[in-house]
Amino acid sequence: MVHRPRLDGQTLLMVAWSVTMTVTGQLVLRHAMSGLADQPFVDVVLGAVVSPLVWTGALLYLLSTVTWLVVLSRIDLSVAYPMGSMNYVLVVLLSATLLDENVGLLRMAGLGLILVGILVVARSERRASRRLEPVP
Amino acid sequence: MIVVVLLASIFFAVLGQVSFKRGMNRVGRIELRSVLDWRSGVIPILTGFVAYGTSMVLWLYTLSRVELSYAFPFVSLSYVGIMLAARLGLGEPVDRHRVLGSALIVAGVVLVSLTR
Repeated sequence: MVHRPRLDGQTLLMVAWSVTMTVTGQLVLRHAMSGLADQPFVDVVLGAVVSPLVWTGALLYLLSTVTWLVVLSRIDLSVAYPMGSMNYVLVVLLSATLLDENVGLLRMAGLGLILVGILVVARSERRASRRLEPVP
Repeated sequence: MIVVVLLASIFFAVLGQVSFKRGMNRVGRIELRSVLDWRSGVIPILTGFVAYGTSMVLWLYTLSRVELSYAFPFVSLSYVGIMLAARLGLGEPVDRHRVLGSALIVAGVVLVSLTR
């Protein structure tokens, strides 16, 4: 792996764009799909295919994925992973406020463990990229 | 039961990711004039698209059944899945930090899974 510069303004903007698109897309998808609760699998799939909201959510998801791939080509995973973990925080926070979901202590505790886990994985990525750094 | 669908959705997302990587490894660095060489990676790349589509359908079905703040934390299992795929499929080494981080992620998802 080539050692890349850590972060610049343009890349940071792309991260913000990608996170915003992921979070918005998921909120839109859940909002659209919750209308199809209690229906059998085939009806859920058909209902999704004809729903403009679902297509909107899927498009936002696509925009976020493409941007994220560009981000990954510009910065190390050790930097990208912690920033990407903002997705989890924002999705859970906004599900609680905008979709009136019941986020209890246990769910928050689980989320906390996940965030620590992602930071630990990112730390391992930093070590891996250091090992591959060329000797000056 | 919906947890099984949810886990399958994450599994297919990881499979899609790994298939794209395998396909692009075969294609190599993309040059505009060598578009024809894409043929060499066409099967893994098609597999990637099918896997991603499957993942999306299962994800939508999941979202019709459970809260987003319940389902979304499961996506973090893709870190673990990609680590396993890299270890088993590509023979990449896995250090202690990655094992520890994955264990924490799995523990966190187990906690979230109890909150339905």
